[in-house]
Amino acid sequence: MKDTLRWSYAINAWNLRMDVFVRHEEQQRALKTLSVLGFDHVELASGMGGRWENLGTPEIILINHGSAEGLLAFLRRAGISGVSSWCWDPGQPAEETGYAFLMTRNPADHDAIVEAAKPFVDLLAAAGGDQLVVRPAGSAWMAPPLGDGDAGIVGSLWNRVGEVAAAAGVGVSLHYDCLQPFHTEEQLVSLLDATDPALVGLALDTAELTIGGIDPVAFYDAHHGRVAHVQLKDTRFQDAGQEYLTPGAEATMLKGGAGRRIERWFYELGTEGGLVDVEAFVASLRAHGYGGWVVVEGDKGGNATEVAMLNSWFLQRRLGVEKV
Amino acid sequence: MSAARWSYALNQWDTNIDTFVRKREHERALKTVSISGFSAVELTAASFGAWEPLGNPRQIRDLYGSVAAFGEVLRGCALDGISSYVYDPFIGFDVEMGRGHDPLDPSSAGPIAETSEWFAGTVRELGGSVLVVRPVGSAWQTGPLDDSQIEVLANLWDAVGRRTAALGVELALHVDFLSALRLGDGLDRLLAATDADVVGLALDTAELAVAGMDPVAVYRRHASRVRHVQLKDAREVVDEAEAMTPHAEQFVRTEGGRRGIERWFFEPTDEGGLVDFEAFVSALHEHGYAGWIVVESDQSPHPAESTMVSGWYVQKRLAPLLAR
Amino acid sequence: MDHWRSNSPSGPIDQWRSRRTMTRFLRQVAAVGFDAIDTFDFRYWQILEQYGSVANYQEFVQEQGLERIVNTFHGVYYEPDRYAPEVPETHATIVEDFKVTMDRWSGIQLDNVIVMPGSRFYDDHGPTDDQLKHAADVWAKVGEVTQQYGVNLTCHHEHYAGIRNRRQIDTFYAYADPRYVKFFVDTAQHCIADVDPVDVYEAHHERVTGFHFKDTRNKDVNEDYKLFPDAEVSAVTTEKWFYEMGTAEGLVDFERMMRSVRDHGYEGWISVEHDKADKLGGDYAESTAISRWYAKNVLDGIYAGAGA
Repeated sequence: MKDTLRWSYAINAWNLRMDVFVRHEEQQRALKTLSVLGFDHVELASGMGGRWENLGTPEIILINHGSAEGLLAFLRRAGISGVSSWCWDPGQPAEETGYAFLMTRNPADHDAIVEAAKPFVDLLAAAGGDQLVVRPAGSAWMAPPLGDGDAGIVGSLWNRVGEVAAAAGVGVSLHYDCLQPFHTEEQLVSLLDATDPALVGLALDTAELTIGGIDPVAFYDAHHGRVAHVQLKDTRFQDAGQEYLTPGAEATMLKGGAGRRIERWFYELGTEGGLVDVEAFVASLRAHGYGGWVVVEGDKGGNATEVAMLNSWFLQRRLGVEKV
Repeated sequence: MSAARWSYALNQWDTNIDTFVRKREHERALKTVSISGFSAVELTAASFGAWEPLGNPRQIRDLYGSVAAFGEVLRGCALDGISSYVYDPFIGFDVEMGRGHDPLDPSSAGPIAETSEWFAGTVRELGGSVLVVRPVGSAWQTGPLDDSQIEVLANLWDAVGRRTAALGVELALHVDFLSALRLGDGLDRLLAATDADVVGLALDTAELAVAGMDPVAVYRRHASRVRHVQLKDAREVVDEAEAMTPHAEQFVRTEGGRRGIERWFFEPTDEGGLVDFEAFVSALHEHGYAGWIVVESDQSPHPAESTMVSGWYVQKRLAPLLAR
Repeated sequence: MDHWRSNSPSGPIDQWRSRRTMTRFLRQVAAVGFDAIDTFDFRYWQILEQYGSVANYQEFVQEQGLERIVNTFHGVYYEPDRYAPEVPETHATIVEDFKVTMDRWSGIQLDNVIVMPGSRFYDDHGPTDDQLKHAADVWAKVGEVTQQYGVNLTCHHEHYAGIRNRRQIDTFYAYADPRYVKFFVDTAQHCIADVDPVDVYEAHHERVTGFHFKDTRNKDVNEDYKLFPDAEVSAVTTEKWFYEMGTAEGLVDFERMMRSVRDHGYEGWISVEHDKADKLGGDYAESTAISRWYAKNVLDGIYAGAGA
């Protein structure tokens, strides 16, 4: 996209389950789709790791493509010139780390998490990426309510990862999702306050904040100095109250309809009944001179290609962004 | 043991003109229906030439050589035959996508009776016993039916019923949720005006439920007239004002009206919807219902899955209610 | 081109289901950089019901960022006793049909109305020489009618239709008045019928008024054209005939095609078509994106290299 904002697209939308999006041909088709839609950078996601997640973790990417340069060459074949960012959830057990169940709220796991972050940082830096986007903590329902010390414990971990990343020229940003425990605006701010602004920023996800009950435009206006990364998507629903605390909320709330027959939470920009004021949000990014990446996400809602096409249309026709 | 027999409507497989044309697609659907516990299928009349090969007797003949040869295919798939054909007189069969006849026009009586006989002969040849018809147009087209209109319809369907009865096929009038018969006491008056020996009612649980009518109550009121049952579920009601929307077939049924409802009908299950199937089937049992019960899941995105799930529900929950 | 299917909560639907689904379709086509659309003229009644008029529908198309409707495909099921190009007794009906059709579409300016010039022949012989001549005659009469509206009558040759092989095509055009009967090249259809699309284009380029660019991975080597109702839906070993250009293993040489189009100075529209793209797990949206990627990254450069 030709714009003062830097636009990228999250490739995870195509990776619906273990046995799809494994062939390089399938990945090329998705990349070509994004290219012709005007995007020239993509965001990677670690997912569950393992050999079927072959754009997921550093080890597997290197097996497939040899090096960062090999990965970039693979992207360039489809007209994509680089990687903006990489999403990683250290709490997601992965084959590469022996399915370790690491918790950021547990200080005893911190050394292991810092170690596990290093290959991501290294490959991301070598590929010219900007942000390691991390899940700050595991789902709220899986652990006791936040205690007074939790923000400090979690913040200290991400400061350490931030130091490692900064040394390689990469930023770390904490991604707000609607299930993690720093859920309210106050909790989220307490976590940000526990981190070093020079090392750690916020990855602001418009749909996730909205589902969690936080207005993304107002939040960005109030805290724009801490926002290092943006993920742009829409939603038609909010958490009705405490749904994020439902046991197994990943399944029961986000996939199982939350008892309200909600079959899909995430939507393309400009969707009918969308709760995110995308135009106002992007205007605010411009007003504050935002310099990071804006990653548009389809996020497993509907047909990935259709959603990408509709997102690109919205950028071109509603946000006035010209294609590359 | 109950005399009622279970059939399945094939309409859900036929989503477009370039699908469900091949014999092998038919066979796969027929085998799925058979192995899910049903002994027959219901066909729906259509007029799109060779691309709707089960749409009328001529097309069956063109693809299979003869109606009898299609009967062999049904038996080869371990079905007894067809239960019924659904015929909407507004469809014409002289040419592809032809325009048929309005039952309220007295001059239509001849051609409608002839076409009905044509379909009834095929029902008979394929082992079925019911011709299901759309007795009148939609509410928005007619408004409440006056006595003279009821008389025209009664004359028409009495004449048709006598002709199909001569072929050993019962005639059953089907009330859809946009039908003129939903207005006032139109249905009761039409049934009263027709000859109970030759004109029956096809009771469709979901269509009545969407029309705001309780299918159990309608059944109890007209049990002696019910010659055919179609079993499906619904979740939304269309009130009279919405049903009066001009071109409601397009703007309400197809497009989903102002609410944007994308799917009206669901297969019968115990997952919850407007229809209480167990109460309904218990009522059939009380009145000694002895006709076909055709399970439908038109609008299912996964026809085979719907057939199998509803097959389970029929075998494990509903059929035992009839066998008491 | 108008073919399109997407999944909905109530199963597969096409873009004509509602204005909402049409909006989504048009936005997707516009997003990847297509400039216009083609349609089928049997959509006329739906257009009236949903948009009021053909001109209104075109405005709706323009509101989503596309320029206009370029071509319409006239889909009719030919029957010798009523409506068939090879049967002179039906020609008056055919010409009359086009008078009505052109009047219906006169609210917008089309480039082409596309027809299948011949009926189906489920046998080895196909149309006789006389039958080809009759077909050429009626399309010339129809072309005269369409040209009164500034629209070309142009012929599209399905791989399973009566005028499908090179001999039949050449004979047909030898009889057909070049002023009124134009040629619409469909790369995949010709390829399946073992007609080289570039060669046939070059032989008849002076009367070519449009293209469907699509690919195939299979030629008809089983006489599938004899199958009822048509080989596109009933071929035994080929469940899916058409792939988007840029597909792996495609048989059409699009680079050569594009060089030829450039060298012959063609300046009209090129339509991209995905017919039955959803077969075998395919996806219309993705095929649309991949084909546009191919056009932008491969073909545009060839065309821009004119004179080079």
